[in-house]
Amino acid sequence: MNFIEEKGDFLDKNLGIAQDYDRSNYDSASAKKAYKEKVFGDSAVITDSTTGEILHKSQTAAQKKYHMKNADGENVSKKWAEHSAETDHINSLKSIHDKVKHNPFLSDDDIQEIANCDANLRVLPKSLNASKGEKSDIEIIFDTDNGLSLKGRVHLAGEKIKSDTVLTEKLIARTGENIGGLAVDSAKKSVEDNAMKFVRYGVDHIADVATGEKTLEDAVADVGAFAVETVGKDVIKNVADSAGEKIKSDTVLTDKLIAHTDETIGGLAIKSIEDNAMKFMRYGVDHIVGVATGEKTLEDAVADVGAFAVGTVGKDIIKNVADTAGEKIKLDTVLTDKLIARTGETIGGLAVNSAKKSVEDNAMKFMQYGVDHIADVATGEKTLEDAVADVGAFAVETVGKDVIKNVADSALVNNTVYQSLKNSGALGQLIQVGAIVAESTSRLIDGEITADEFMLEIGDKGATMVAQMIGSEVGAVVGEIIGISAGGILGAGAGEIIGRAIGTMIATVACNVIIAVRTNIINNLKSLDDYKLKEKAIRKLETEAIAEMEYQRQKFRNIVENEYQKWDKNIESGFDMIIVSACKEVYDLQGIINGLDKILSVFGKSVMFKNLDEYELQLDMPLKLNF
Amino acid sequence: MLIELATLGVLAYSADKSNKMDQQALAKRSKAYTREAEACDLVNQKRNTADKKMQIVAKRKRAVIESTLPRFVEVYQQIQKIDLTISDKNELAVYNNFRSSGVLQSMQTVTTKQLTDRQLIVEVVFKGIAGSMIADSERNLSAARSQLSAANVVYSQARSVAEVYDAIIGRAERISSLIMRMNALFLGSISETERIIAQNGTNVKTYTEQDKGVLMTCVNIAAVMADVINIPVLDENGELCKSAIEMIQTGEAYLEQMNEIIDQ
Repeated sequence: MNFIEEKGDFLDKNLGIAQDYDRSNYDSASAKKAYKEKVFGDSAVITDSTTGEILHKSQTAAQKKYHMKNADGENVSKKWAEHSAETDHINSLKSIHDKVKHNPFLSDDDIQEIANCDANLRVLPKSLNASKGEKSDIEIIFDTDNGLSLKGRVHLAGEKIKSDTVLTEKLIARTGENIGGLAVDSAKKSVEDNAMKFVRYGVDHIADVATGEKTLEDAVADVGAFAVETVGKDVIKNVADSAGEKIKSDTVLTDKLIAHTDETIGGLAIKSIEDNAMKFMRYGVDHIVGVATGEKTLEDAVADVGAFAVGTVGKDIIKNVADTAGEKIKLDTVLTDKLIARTGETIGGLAVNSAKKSVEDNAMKFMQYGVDHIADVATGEKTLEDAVADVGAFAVETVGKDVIKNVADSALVNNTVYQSLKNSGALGQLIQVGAIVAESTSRLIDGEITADEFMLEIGDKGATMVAQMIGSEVGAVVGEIIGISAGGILGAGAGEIIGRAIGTMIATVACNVIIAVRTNIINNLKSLDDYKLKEKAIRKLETEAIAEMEYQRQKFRNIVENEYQKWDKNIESGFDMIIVSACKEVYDLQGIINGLDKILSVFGKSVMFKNLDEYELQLDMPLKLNF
Repeated sequence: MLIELATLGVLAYSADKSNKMDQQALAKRSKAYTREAEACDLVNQKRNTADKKMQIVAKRKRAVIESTLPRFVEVYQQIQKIDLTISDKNELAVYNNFRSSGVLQSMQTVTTKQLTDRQLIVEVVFKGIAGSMIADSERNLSAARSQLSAANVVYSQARSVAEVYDAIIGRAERISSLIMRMNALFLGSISETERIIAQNGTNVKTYTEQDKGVLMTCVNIAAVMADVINIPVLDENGELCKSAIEMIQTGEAYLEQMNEIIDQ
């Protein structure tokens, strides 16, 4: 069931993308023909940069030139196919559809237009196009056995990076443009309504925050509450309301999620929070706000995950989650492609030590992928192999942060989002993010730590910064839109600044939720393993206790033995003395007294009468005995 | 189909692994219970012996007071007035108090702490059913190992308690022996005193030095007897008892710590 067919127009535009891929929706013969004409101009032939062979604009001419048929009209040669020009999409229509099909702010027409732009088209030999088949450019570039020269593969890589850059820009710009259709009115109204408040806060103050002269923490403190409560919240709410309507009706989402749980939005939101804040934004900011503003508690959010899990309990849901993650990974490979291609272009000059090193050094990639995504890449199946093996194959010497930065600078020179990040000082934060997560990422890829441990290692700080990067990106897009409408009220640039602040606020709010939910989950995971710590503690205590108790016993035993030795010795000695004294021929009174004293010494006492004088002196008095 | 088979394979492997761990856990628990039972037996055996020894001491003290002492009073009162005080010894009170102080009742077991619903959910999400099954068995095995650890500490404490009982038994035996030997001397001395009084009359001042010496010895033995009777088997202020209490309390403290860790 197609959403567009089912729902018709999404507000005033045909927003929403058919979830089932149909090439005919996106291919454009006219665009390809026009591109071919542009490439050949007035020439009938050109030299193909990939193969170095002559390409004929006309297939018939190539067939004739390279003797496809013999005199009898039989096909005897396929050589012509190596010289017949064919127009192809650099990024396939299906891959573009896969990337953006969940974006509620794009339409099928948007995809068709962007996918068939010149930057995504190329002319190449028919034979190469045919042999390429379903293989991606990355596979072709890295396949050393396909007959393509190094120069040819580098050329393909260069085309790929250019195409990726342009497509990303166009898709973001178009998304923003379409969001603007939903957001401008409410933003404009909100700005108008709150104009005095803005004046009071001072646009300059906000500008300081947005341009990085003030820290993001200060931004949260100084501008955050204000922005969220006023413009930001209005815009977010209105956009989210609209997007949410679409999302709730989205067949694919409902098929995937509602079938598994009644708590669709909750489950989706939690997963989205974990996976990708940008995606989360696309799927409905209202849920983020809902959680962040207290309309939904974290407990409820976690409970939703629970409902999601319990409702499905089994491999199916795990597989679905994995599939979703896999889709996201594909979505986010753009920058990797760019870096790989760029590396390919400058082999010998730019070198990547390894996939691990590349990940370590590439802070920008962290922004693109997001922390969770890195974990997914490192622990995933196919993507891990692709990322590590592919990059590794191209690895040469050392690529440092500077090189990566240079690559990013040059590759993204026309990327407004990147440039705005750079100009606002946020680039420094990217590097910081890289520094924070680099070591942990390296260990993650080496398998020394799990994804969960990775999250624990980079901590909230890393997650916060990543989210802030995303926020700046969002802010740049939203800011442009608000700037268009709000310029007349607050002056040129104010809207962008406000938008950036809003973006930061969105990210901060989302980030807090991310951290809180993640912390909650991690804590639960940790508590699952508490028994190991408990056992360890018990064992340690056991060892300590037994040793100490044995020591105490030995100490006690010594005391007892000493006392009893003294006892036995004195008692025996005392009795011996008494017996000997009593048995003497002459009664030995003193010996008996000494013997009794010896016995009594055990108890710290002595005999009542030590001699006859003492005894006789008391004979007239009562003898006191106390038993 | 392959996925289902693979899933079944994973589950079967997990079930087998889980089962092995459960068997190990059962063995550990069995050993722990045995160790705890041994601890109980050890303490019970020592306690029974100590009880008997204490009873013997008490009987002998009573015998002296009820049998020998009256004879002494009867004989010796002929020559000197006797101011006799017999206090309630309640010999067993201190011992019984010590015995039932709870020190020896500190046997316990470590049980698997149940997971909360949320923890279970998170575990299923992150580890899957097979993983959860194994994790559950791991927890069970871990708890069994911890139970064995706790049982070892309990057994060690039982050894300490047994050590105290041994000390009590040793002291009781010595006091008991001393009473018997002193009573023999006392009886002999009373007989000799009786003979001398019968022979010399009741005016001691007319006695020879040796006869006076016999009477003085009888009185000294009676006083020693009183001291021996008054010696407690368990002297709460004695070094031995203090040391015993310190030892037992050390063990108690460790058992409490273990309880705290288990209850966390």
